[in-house]
Amino acid sequence: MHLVLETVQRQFPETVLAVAEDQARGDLSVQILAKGIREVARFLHDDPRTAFDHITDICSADYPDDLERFEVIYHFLSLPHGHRIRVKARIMEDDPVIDSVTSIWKGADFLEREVYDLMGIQFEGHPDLRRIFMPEDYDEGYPLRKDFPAEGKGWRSQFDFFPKYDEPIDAWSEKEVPQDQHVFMAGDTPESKKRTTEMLLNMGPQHPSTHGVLRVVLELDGERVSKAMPDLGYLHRGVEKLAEGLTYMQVLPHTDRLDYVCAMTNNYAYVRAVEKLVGVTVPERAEYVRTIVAEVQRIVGHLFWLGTQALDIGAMTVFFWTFREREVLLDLFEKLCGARLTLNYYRIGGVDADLTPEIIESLKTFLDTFPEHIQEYDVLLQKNRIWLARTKDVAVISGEDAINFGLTGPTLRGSGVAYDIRKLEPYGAYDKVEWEVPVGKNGDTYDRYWIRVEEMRQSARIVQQCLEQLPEGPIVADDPKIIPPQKTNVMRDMESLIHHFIIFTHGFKPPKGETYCATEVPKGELGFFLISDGGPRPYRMKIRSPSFVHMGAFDYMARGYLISDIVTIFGTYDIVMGECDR
Amino acid sequence: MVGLDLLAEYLSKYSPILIFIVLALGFGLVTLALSYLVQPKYPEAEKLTTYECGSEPFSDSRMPFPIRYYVIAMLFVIFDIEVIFLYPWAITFYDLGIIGLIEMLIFIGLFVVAYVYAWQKGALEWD
Amino acid sequence: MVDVGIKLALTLTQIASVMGIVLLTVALLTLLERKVLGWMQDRMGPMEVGPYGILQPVADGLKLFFKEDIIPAGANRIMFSMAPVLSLVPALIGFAVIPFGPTWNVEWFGVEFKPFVISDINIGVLYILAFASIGAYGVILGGWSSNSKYSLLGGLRSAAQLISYELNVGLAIVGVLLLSSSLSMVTITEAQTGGFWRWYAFAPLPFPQFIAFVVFIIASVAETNRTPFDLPEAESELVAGFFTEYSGMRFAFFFLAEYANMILVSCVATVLFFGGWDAPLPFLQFHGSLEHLEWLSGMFWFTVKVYTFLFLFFWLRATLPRLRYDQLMRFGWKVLLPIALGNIVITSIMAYIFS
Repeated sequence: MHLVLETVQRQFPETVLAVAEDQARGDLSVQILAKGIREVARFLHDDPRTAFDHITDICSADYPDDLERFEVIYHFLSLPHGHRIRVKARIMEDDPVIDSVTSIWKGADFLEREVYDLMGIQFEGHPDLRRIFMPEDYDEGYPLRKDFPAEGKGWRSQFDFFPKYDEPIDAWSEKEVPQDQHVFMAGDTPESKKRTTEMLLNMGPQHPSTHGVLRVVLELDGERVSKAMPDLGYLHRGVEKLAEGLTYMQVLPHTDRLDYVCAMTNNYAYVRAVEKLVGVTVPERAEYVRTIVAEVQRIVGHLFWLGTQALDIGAMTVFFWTFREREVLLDLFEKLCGARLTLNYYRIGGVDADLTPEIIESLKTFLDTFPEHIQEYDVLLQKNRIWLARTKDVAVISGEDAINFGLTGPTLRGSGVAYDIRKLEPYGAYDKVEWEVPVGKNGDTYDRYWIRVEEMRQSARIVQQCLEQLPEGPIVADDPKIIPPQKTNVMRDMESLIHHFIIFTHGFKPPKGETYCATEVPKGELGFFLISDGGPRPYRMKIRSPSFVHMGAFDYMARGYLISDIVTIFGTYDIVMGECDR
Repeated sequence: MVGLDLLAEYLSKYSPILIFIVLALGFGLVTLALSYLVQPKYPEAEKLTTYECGSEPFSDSRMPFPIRYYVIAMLFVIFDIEVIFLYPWAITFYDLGIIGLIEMLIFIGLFVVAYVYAWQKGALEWD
Repeated sequence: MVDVGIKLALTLTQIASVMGIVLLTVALLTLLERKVLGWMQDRMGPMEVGPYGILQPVADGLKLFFKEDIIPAGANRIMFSMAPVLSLVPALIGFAVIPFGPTWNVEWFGVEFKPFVISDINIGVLYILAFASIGAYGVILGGWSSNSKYSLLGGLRSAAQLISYELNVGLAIVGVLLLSSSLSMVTITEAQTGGFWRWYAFAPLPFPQFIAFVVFIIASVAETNRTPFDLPEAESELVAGFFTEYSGMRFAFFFLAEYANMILVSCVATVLFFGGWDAPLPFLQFHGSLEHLEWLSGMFWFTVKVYTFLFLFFWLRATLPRLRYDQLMRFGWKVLLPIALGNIVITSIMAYIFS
């Protein structure tokens, strides 16, 4: 048995109900009594033998037929030891309460709110347990419960909490503050005899630089932010709920729309999770192609990020220059799979289309000139004193805090933590090529900027090497029960036709089980947690999206900075609302 | 007679400026009025709310609100007056000779003392 | 009486042509800016309206003219309507004292007049500074009267920014006034004629005002709310700053005022530091047998210099990110102000030594 499991079991003989080590998938899981969660979590976090300092995810599953209906599932990561653990606790329907772990991991705040919002589980000791995606006064139930219909309850126009547009013009002062806004106004600052009041300012959802439909309510003291309250959910589509009604293959296009500027890496994260669940081995060429495409997508994502971050800070030209290069790569994607943005290119067990010599040639040409282009952006930014002044010492977060908030990707590496899943748990062809993980020192916006620019260089390096090493071979695994056969074969032999028919009408059936799989996407760690009940559809699919977790640290990072810096912080997270709200 | 000449000169020099002001003002008002005549007018409750990123504003924006730079505003008033004192001196510089130069250096010295004092007191920090 | 009538007619013609030229230049600038930015950013700029998009300003103007002017609920209606005018008028009338061409006294039906300057008053510089300060009221009132928080913040930012940088403008030009012993724009230009080594920005003796010029141009960029000092209207932070609530013609007026101010400060910089209509090298002045065409050459050089400065404005916009508020204030008060003061001290001492 794994040492960690042994330690936990020995420490809490009564609380720990069962431990399990999934040898094939490499997952560790512990089933515990719900009332012991805080105790166990504290031990896992503090004890040097376990040292699970990074909170990855909290999610929940609903088993309506069981006596203890809900399961709360925690994923922790130990950065010093480099392993993950899954802690599960069951609770009853009539008393869905469990202790909050926000006192141990600050990042648990938003994650627990999400579980409360979508599953109705109360977290005792949570400082601010409110709905996070659904409207504040939504009382139609909890959408992720199995008894909540996937198509929702009723139409939008029937809800009376949406304003009607034919209301008469009423006097300004008489206008009442809408119900959901009272939440923000009931601030925790006591009524004092100050002659000035704190100004509450809505930033978003209709704002040029909130990167979509993010809304943040700022409490302002002058131009200084004394409190920032993110209000998410304007782009909540219930992808996790939708996935429960789709076969594993049908979920794939939905992942394109998570982080819609880096669709490839979302595909990659999802297919990796399914492959881990099912146990498919991907052919070598496919692994290389996947790596190449994912790294090209990373360059695209970072170019997009650099342009928008610079535009937010007021440097207009960088935006157009990065989009010039992004255009070349999007054209390549178009040649590769016919789409430019929502690509849907990866397949379970491989990829959809092979790299043609023409694409490889244009990719090589691009890589030859790309370092010069990065040099161009550097000319405008790297030594620009205004840029330095705007990014240095802005939104500083220390390494410990960043880990405690569960930050990942460049946002975490900027604080000096060299956590990159591509190095820690190598997949694809990442362990076959040479590259480095750039790590910052100060944890400020400048370091995160520098890291992303450096990552573009590293990505180019990876792609270059992968193209040189690219082996010949098939691009999809040969596993007729799971992977659809070639179209040409379907028309020729009976067996292929049957497999094709079964896969496309019923879907393939993975074994009963559950797994968490993390992938390094441009924004950070994108994880898919899949529970399979042996049927053709995921029983529960949880997306651990980096943008959402990063937003949990927003208030912490924004306090005390100016309005101008708020925009910089949106940018430095590289936030995409499609992924944040899901 | 000297006074009248001066008056006439002022009139001839400043009347074009007065005319210009009237014309510019007229241009502005007439354009606004013409535009007002031809533009569509469909006021609506939603359209007339003030912009706050698509959400209902929390409150009227005319609230007591700390702006934090009244010290800078006062410094501006003081320093700007000192700048105005520099202008007549600068124009008559060559007539005033060494005395004027020394006097003004003393004046600028005082200015610098006040400036350094304000700097040390943190009055130039915006916040 | 005939004298007065002719004089009035001439003055009106002058004013009308100056206003017309300024407004046309503004229209041209909106197109030029987009084309220059497009060129710097690897794109085309406007291409749809007319050949190469040259009719774009007309389309923009017409669109804004026929657009609904919304006065938001809760706004102070009178101030909200008047703020754009209050912003535009000072920007336009500043041109009254700018000498666009050589001093040239024309006798016409017994009336003497100078065709290239509307009025040569002996306090020209003060006049421009005074009206520039009034223009700030338009911005501040516009921001305050909208009753929108973004406008309010924009207006407040602009108030602080304008007062901080006005001081630097005032200090930067003291050196020039000292050297020319005059506040009249015409006299200042005439004192610099004879080639670029006599322009105050470069004139080696007693002391070149180049540093003062740099301070002046930086402060002017801030005064006109242009990048990198465009905080009052920072679109990525305050949406549109003080004119968030404005639409239609009122919005257009703020726009006109900003561009007219750009032209005005370019003219002022040209006159004070770059010799106004003086040609950089004497032989570039069309002299000789075509004496009566001297004004043409003067206006040509004046235009070239003004457009150089305007190009600089565009160039800055394409190159630099935006400053943050505290940085802006720190830069104005702790960097520009001491430099401008030091310049005055050194200039006056040098001027005394070489006088």
